[in-house]
Amino acid sequence: MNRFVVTFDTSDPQILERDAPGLLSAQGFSTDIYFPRLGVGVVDGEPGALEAFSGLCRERRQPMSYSPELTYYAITEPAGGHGSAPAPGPISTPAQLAEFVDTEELTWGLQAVQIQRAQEQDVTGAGIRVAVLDTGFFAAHPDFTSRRVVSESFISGEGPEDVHGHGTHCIGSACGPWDAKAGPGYGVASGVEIFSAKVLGEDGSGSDTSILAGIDWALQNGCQVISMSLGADVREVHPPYVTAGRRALEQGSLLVAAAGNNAGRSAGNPGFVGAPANSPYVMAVAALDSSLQVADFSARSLPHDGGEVDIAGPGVDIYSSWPSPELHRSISGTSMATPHVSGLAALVAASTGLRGQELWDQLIRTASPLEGADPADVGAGLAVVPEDVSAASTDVGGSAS
Amino acid sequence: MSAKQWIITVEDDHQDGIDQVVAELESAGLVVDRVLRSLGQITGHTEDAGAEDEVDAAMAPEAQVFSSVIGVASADGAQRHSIAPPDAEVQ
Repeated sequence: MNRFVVTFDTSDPQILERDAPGLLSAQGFSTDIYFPRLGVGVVDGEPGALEAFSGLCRERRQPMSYSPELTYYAITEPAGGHGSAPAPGPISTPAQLAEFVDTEELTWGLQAVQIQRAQEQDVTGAGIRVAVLDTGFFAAHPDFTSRRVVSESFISGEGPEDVHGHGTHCIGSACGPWDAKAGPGYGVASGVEIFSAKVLGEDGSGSDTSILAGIDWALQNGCQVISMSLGADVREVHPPYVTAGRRALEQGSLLVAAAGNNAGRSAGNPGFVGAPANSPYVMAVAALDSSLQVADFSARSLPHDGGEVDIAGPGVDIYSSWPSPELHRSISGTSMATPHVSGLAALVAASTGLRGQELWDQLIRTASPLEGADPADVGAGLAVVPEDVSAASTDVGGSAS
Repeated sequence: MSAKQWIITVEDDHQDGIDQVVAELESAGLVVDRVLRSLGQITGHTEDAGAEDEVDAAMAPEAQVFSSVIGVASADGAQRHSIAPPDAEVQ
């Protein structure tokens, strides 16, 4: 007997609440773990029985998909026989040992996302506005003196300045320079207009009310990309972000969010994508190390619609800007991977004119697949500057309706 | 007694009439903090009556009241989000 996650692919509440659990029971599956609002359950069964059940559901026009259970139990055997879980450590994947390193010119992250393609074509993201919702920005940073930065605070009693450092670091990765005054270049979209919304206070925490106010402000200001390196470690979709993500896409703006750092893969815990990244219409970003292996802390997909990791970016030992007196610091997290993807979104938006759902589709389509990696961990793969960054594929997938 | 924060999502076809929805929410007891017109959402708060346990916001009586206002798609309690302290290796 194995455990499977079953997902009924419909938004019809009648099916989700009555028909689906009825079908499960009728076929002898338990409905003890079934979430009617999500249409997702976890059942014990033989693979053959699940396949037969899938066929039955298809015949009844109530399509159901199933996959081996991934998230509701921690994998306790660190190097067990479960093929889907990569063994910990950088030496486990023979196919790919890229091992990028920071050079004097560029961080390893910029090299990994193929920034030279943007440099060769001089695509800097100019004309695009990127909003970073975080702890604010250290506006006096010498690497940003020539840049246009608009800052706003949504934390009562605090100004837009960054006391924590996290926001300045994220803005650096998304929007910082290709050529820094000292040290390597570290920013993906070096020519965008920067919109810094302080939605997390000096203590690094904030509420939905600040974050949504920040998203609304970014939309009012016409930001085409909104980067959110923040989250709550909850599995459940938080409804306000579903609507926010959809309305942002409809207005030509893409929400990019950190998948979360709640995994401890070397200890057998793959974690789960937290809110708001686990909402449909919000792009969830996983973190890779410099060997392009999924980071130990990087959260894995949840089975519900929108709960998946969509794409991955550099997120271990990432060098970027920091408030004075340090000015630069290297840290790790899906928070660091997220602004890399946001910066790439800005480059693609600038060079192709794509917006919203079409921009999302293009990023997914042009991501570099990671050999040996599980899509539940890395989504479509590593986000990169497309080979021909200005080419907008005409093969556009379904858009949000 | 502590303030409970709410996010009210307005239905697509009532976004043009969001001010009317705001007025009715105020009548229903919501202290409106911000009207997010691009998103079609409203943030606000109520004074928590002091329930001992942190009850699921969806079960709170205010949620039922706010949800029943015409034009409201959902009324949700606010979540907290946080990141690690500045000196943490993983953020």
